[in-house]
Amino acid sequence: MAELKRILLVEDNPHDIELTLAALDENHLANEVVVVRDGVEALDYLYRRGIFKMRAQGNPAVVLLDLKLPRVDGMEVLRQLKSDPVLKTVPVVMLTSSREEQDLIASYNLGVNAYVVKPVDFNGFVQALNKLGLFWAVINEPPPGSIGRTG
Amino acid sequence: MDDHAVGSEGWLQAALRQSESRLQLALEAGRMGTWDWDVRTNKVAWSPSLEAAHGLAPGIFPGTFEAFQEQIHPDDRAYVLASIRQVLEAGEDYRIEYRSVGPDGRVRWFEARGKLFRDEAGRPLRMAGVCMDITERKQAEEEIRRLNETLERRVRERTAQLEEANRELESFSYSVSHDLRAPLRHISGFVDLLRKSAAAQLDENSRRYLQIIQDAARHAGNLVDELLSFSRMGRVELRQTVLDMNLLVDEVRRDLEPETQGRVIDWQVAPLPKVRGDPAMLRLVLRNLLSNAVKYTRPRAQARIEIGSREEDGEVVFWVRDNGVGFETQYADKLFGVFQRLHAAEDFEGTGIGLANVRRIVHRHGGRTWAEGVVDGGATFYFSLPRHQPEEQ
Repeated sequence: MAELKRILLVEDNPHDIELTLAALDENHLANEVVVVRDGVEALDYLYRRGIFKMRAQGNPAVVLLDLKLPRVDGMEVLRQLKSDPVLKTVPVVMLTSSREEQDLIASYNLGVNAYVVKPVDFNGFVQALNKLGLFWAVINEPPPGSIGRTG
Repeated sequence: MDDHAVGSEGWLQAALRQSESRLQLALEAGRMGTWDWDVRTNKVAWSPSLEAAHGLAPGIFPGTFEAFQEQIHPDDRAYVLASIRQVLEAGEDYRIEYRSVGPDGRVRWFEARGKLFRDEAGRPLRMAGVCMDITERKQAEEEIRRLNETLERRVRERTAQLEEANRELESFSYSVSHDLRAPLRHISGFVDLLRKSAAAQLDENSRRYLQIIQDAARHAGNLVDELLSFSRMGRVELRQTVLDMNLLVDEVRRDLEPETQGRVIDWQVAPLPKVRGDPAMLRLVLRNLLSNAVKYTRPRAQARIEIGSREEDGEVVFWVRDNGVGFETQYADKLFGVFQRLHAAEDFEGTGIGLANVRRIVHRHGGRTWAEGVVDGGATFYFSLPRHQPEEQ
């Protein structure tokens, strides 16, 4: 089996966090999922600063990013990542409720790697996360510098 | 003889005086006057009517070029003198509009027209012409300009209000899209988790309740999605091209294959004319009408769906006719309203947005929609589009 890679989940809603973790668990994708609750925490994690100053080096294999977030929203996180010479290689998947055209256009213009609308139906949600997790954390070869599963 | 000659001359003079006084009256009535400037002596002669037009008593105007300058509004003086200089140097015709300040302090607008006369050597001799009070015309022009400005300002304000309303609508549908879907997803997700973790302890009734919650959440999700697409349908720009309606029907029929599989459907598609319209939107119209026809003929062992058209004054009328369950014609118009349904959800699934979308799209194309039905005797849905003129292409 391929080595499982770390996933950074940026999501503020506790229900969505629980459902996402449950869906990933359902698919036996027991990755090391790091959950951060807003855009500031996400950037702190990726830049290894603030509360994440002491974390080990290495980038997640994929960032699952919600659009609507407290403090700094998902679009701004994406903009900062994709304009950073080092962090721009980290794959970012928008995982959001919004299927508004303006969000799609803005995300792709900023260089998002994929855009997934969360299905209302839980089975659809599980399937979407199964495919997402499988592709980004197992099948896809992430850029050098990503973290493997710890322990 | 002398007497006669004198008498004749007197008559001529009297006639001339009469004619002059008539002219004077006419000039006064028109608030006009004549002027005559002897360039060499600098004398300026004004007719009494011109003095009156400037608010001066007869004979008050001193009759010099300097006195004329004094009459001009200080702000207009420079350009009046410049244009006179221009005529003296190289021109012949003189025409200008300027303001004048009367002894009563009143500002009046004048329009002066005149001609320059030169000697054989080309040196300016005299300039003469007419001058008229155009204050009323200027006031009317000013009033029109002011009204136009007010109108433009109102249009700008109204446009800003409409843009604001549009932005609010955008952010409303954005919130609906994001914030309403999230709790529905949570209901669906946690019901599913509950069903998995507690399946063994639950009796059949409890499991049915969970299924109902699950289905309701999914249905609400579909409603949110369709409401959003309905609202978007009213906002997006129409991208019109010439369309082959038969090709569009074929495409939609292919899209509907999952729903028609295992069914016996006799499709009767007549040759249809080309129309001008937005391909994606008209495709949605056909998709809604054909999928309705497929859906409501489900109880028929042998379904029949007919698509045809006829041309009548300036428009093309298309129809989709089926031999399905039909409806009461008295409710025909309700069908096109948002969330209006004539059938129980357990018999025929649906959100009640499809035909509202059809009506909105057809209206945006300048057409109409209507329907006829007979309970258990089938339904016919009509929509019209403006006739496509081939020479437009």
